Amino acid sequence: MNRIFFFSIFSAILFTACEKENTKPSSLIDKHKISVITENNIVTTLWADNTTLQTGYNRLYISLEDMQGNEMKNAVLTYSPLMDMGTKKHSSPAEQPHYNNDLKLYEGAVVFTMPTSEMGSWQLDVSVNGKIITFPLTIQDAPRKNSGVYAGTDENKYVLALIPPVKWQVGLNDLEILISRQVSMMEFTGAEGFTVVFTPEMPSMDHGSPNNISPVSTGNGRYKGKVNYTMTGDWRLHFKLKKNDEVIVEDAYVDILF
Amino acid sequence: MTLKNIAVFTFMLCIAVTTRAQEDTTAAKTITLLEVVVQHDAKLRNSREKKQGADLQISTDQLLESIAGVNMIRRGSYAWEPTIRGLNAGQINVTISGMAIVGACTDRMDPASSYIEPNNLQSISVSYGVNNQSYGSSIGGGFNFKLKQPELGNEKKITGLAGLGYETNAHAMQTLAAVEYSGKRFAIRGNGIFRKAGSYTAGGGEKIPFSQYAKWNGGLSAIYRLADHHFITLDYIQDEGRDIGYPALLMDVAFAKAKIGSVSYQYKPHNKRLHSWETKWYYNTIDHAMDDTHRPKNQVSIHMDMPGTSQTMGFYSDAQWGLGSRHHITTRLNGYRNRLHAEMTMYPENAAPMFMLTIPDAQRDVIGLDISDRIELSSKAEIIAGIRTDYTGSSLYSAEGKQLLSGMYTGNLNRSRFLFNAYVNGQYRVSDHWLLYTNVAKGMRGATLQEMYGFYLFNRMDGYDYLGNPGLSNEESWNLGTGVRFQQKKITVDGQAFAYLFRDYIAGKPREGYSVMTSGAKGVKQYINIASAVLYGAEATVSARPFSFLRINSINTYSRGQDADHHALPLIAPFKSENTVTALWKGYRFHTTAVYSAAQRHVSYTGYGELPSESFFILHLGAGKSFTIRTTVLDFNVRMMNVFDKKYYEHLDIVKLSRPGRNLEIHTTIRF
Repeated sequence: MNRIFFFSIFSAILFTACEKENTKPSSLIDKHKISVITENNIVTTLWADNTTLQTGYNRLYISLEDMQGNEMKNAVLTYSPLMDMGTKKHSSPAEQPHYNNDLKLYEGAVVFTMPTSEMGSWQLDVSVNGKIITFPLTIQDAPRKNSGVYAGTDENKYVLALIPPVKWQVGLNDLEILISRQVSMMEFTGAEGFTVVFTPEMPSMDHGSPNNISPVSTGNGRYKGKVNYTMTGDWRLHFKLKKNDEVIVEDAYVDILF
Repeated sequence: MTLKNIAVFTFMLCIAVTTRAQEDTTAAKTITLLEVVVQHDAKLRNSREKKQGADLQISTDQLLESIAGVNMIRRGSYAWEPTIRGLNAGQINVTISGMAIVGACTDRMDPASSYIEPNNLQSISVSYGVNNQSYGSSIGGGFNFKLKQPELGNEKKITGLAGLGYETNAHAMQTLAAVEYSGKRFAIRGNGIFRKAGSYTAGGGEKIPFSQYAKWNGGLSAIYRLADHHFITLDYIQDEGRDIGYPALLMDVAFAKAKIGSVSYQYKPHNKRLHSWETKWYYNTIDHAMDDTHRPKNQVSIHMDMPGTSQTMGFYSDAQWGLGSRHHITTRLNGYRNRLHAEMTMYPENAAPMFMLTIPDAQRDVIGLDISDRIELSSKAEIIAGIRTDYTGSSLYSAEGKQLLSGMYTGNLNRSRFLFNAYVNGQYRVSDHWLLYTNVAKGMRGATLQEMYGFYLFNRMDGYDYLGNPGLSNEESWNLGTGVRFQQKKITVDGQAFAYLFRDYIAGKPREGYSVMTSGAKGVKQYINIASAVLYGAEATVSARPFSFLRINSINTYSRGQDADHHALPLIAPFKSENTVTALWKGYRFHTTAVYSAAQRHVSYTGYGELPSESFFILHLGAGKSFTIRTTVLDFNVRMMNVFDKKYYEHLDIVKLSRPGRNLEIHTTIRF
């Protein structure tokens, strides 16, 4: 008798626990909550693909709820990342969020160009219908170089970032990068008109791979191509950025391990 | 009628091994086939030709090398790769009692013949070109290693042998044993051998490091008579090599293991219509691992593991029919599935390990039907005509394999091919002494799985990484051959000439813009079809017995090949002459063998990465005696190989690695 009683209690707890878990939208299950801020009667939650944010390209998601717990789908959002280095401040490239119906989240992205350190701290200003909500962020240094800032021969500064795929695998993979041009300390824009020459390399082996497709522009600074990995291990992807047959950036590269 | 007639038509080549096996080629075989009888038990010793024990202690490789037209690609002391008239790998068929077996190593370190010991064998059949003796489509014929079957109803119930041998060069030793029980309904045979050798010394005293090996091989065969004319047989062989050095290559082998098993059902009614019918099911698996951990650091640019596996399961159903008194029909239905997996993990010093499939889980399915008819046209003329058709399917069986090749090719990589072989062999007996024979055949082979799907397989011969090509067409050939034989009481002379005219010859050609995978490789080649190629040559053998105590054997072979781009074909041996004189004196046997090989200048460095080879002349001596005590025979053989300690290599030896220098071999075997 006793046992049955305990068992039913236990199952009840288990059941409610499961139920609670299920209330989370299915799309959120593989996203990680970074921070929640309640301001202006709106609960604003910041989500990411991983538990921590790293230098390079990060997909950042926002969910909005009013105080009754209703989801707000029609807000106008913008991301403004900001690095505060005390004496000076600067921004970094961002892809502005749009509501993603599948995810039931606002989805955008930010390229963090340096880690949080004693030198300075990051914050993300999210404008929700014109009102700014500030998320202080800790950005860790990525274990491998997945983005870089380059001074172009055309006097412009460019940021090239690898847009991380779901998963790398041996064989042919989609390859996407984001190239941004620094307009001012506070403004970046997608860099258009580049001819990208792409070559992968295994630094420890001194060889590359055949049948790669150099990324071509798909708009807003995004360039899409294909990379062929003949084996797992350390790979370095080299990108030469050219405009009108003139080399603007000689060797922007990112490192991959899988 | 049959036996006698077959005997008349039989074409027997005597081989000058070094007096080991040549007296025993008694099997009745057709003109394109040569059979080397390997096994000798005490119970056979009364047979007419039996003069001495065949030496089971020599290796399968040495046995093969002693056959006319067979040359071995040598990468070290162990696991040589056979070629027939310059054709090799996918161009020839290698089977073990009809069972398909495919080596697992991507660097061709383990040809099927490396998993078989003479101790397992009854005989080795060698067929030159396309005929009714093979178990698959081919261009260059092949080898069938016939396993020794225990015999029912022997007078002596228990027979067996045990042997021990030692060789001074490399301190090689081998010990072997076999025992057979023969009952009226049931017979069983078990055999085993253990071999171990250190690194050998080449002629002139140069030590060849990493040429050691160790292996054991065990076999078990049983036959059970279910009823009159109905038999069931079981065969199992396990062969395990360990710590095998390949001095011609960049890596050695940690282990090479094979398990080979079969069960077959035989129906032998011996009536006029159906002579015999055998159906066999089989499975074999090979597990192979390359190893570079023993090499000095400066030889290993990057440490890597390269294991590979091969599994084959299949069947055949083989029947011999009679149709009237003139037609002898053989039908053979066979099929198998082979799966190859090979991978490489590299461990760079300051970076993450790298993993790659080198054979991306490739599968070959084959089903074939072979029908041949031996027609006795008259008491003087006979022809054998037949056709063989195969359906072959090639595919990738794993998602990883398909994903890997997505980076190389687009679309479905599965391929199916039909193969069609046809052959007509004829012989005409001009007189008691003269026999003419000729053969015409259409041969065809599909590309091997390595040639189709191989992924950066390094070829030490030309120093290129090789890529497969799923789009390869079948390699085809017209095989033409003709010969004449003169036979007298004291001398037999046989000469034949052959030509293979290839279409869509498969070869590797440099692929520009591809970076090499193996450090130090010269470039990347991919297999393609070359429009045409031609291979021709001749073989002459003499077997003379001027006195009852003296025998002279001579084998002379020559071949030459060229492709459509005027490049000399690779791995073609130059003119070679092997001559043996055997003398019998008071129960002792003495023999001396002189081997001469001409230089090979007809090579193509640009086409196939081959360099010319020097000529050589070497001499072997040997002596032996058999002591009989009641029913027990003690065989004692001594050989001095390469008497003058010549430093030499053969043209097919990879990187011109020197062969062993002077070597004294002492082999003793007791048979009961």
